Amino acid sequence: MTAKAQGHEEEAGHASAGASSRIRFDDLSGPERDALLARALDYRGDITLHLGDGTSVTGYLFAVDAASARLYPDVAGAARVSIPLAKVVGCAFTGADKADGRSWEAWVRRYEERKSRLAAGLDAPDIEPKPEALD
Amino acid sequence: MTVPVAQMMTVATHVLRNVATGRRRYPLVLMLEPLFRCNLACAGCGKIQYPAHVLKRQLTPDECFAAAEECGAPMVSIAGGEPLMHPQIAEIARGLVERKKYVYLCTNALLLEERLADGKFEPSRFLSFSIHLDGPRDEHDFAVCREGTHEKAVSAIRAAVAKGFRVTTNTTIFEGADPKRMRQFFDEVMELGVEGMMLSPGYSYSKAPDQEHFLRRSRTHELFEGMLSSRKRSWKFNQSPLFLEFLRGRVDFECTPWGNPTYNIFGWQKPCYLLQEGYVDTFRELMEETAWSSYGKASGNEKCADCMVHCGHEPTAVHSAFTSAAGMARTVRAMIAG
Repeated sequence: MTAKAQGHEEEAGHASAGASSRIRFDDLSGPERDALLARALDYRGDITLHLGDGTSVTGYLFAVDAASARLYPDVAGAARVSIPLAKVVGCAFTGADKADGRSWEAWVRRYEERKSRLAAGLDAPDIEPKPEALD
Repeated sequence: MTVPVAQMMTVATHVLRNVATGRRRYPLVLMLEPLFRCNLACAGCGKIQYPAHVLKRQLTPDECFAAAEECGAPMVSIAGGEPLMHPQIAEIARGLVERKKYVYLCTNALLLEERLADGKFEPSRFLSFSIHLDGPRDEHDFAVCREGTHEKAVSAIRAAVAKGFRVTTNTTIFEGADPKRMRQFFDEVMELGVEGMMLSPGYSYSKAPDQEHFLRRSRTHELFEGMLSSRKRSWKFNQSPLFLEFLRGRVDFECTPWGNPTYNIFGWQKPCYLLQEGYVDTFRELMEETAWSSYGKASGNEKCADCMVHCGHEPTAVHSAFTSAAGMARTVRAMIAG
């Protein structure tokens, strides 16, 4: 289990449903920008980095250091890319949060609810989480 | 301890060679994650919570071999995701065995009987299937969020043992584990004919306050003491006896985060198997650029305060056993006393 595993459904501010508004770095102080990048790094979905030349890169952000952000673009077979942070002017949480609703606590809650419904003679839905369909 | 003598000698030689050459930080086990795809969706598992395009990616056999050679660890634990979902997993295992690595192929075993029937795996003293079993049937199926998983895993264990493969089990102990039921579980597992069992406390650091599932240090001591005191001779553990003593609270160890370096599609993971705090492209960068003093209980890092997992602490136990008279004596005492 990893440090990124838990609790995203409890955290405010994540665009778990998909598209989110673009956050411009110009509007942020240095520490605020660093905090945003840390949040983007923790996010278990794709993000979009907006660059100063008007282009953007969408993909999974897996590493950020003082100079660059590294991600796998959401393009089949694409190699990982390193984007100089100096070129990044904004960021958006554009992909679904794959940790949303998948914490251990959420599973226990659903399990207990299902048990109660069955004990009461009510129908209970299948609650077993399924791997993401990739085809 | 049930690790074959040849494997123990290889590990001992590796440890002593590194110590003799003054190498303070050296790897023991490569944690190789060739993919993150899985056929289960266990709640809370961060190893599978990625967008689809990431889950579709995988390491090539050559990338796996290069990582093993670059790192130089005598043992490789193939994890994931579910390694048996990798289309070239048999080739990866075979290539690592040819390189004389002791391979532990970790699997939930749902696909194992099918893969064994294909005939692509061959028994070898270098290859073990490490089957994930978190406890008796109800506990295991609940832990992996799918009924019937325990039954399939047990069937696969029997099949693999019957075909002459080395088989171990790996069990993560979570809060709520019942020591009495776990002791019965140990009896059941050994009756399946496995070579040995591996245990680790479940631990995860999170910024959110949902920690009830995972074990605090004192609770880990209590649970493992309850499970392992007055140990039966029939129980065989494929782990360092000193690591089990550590879990029981009888000896204290600092973490050795570089002992089990992790390599996956993102590169070499800093600083350890559990924490994802950056990636580098080479093993050398991992060893030289990671701020090792920022990790471990003594560092004061809150992420490390209650961690007692095997990947960071078993290397410490192994190093102690082979490099000091006190460590060796303690190991022998632990093996005799049980």
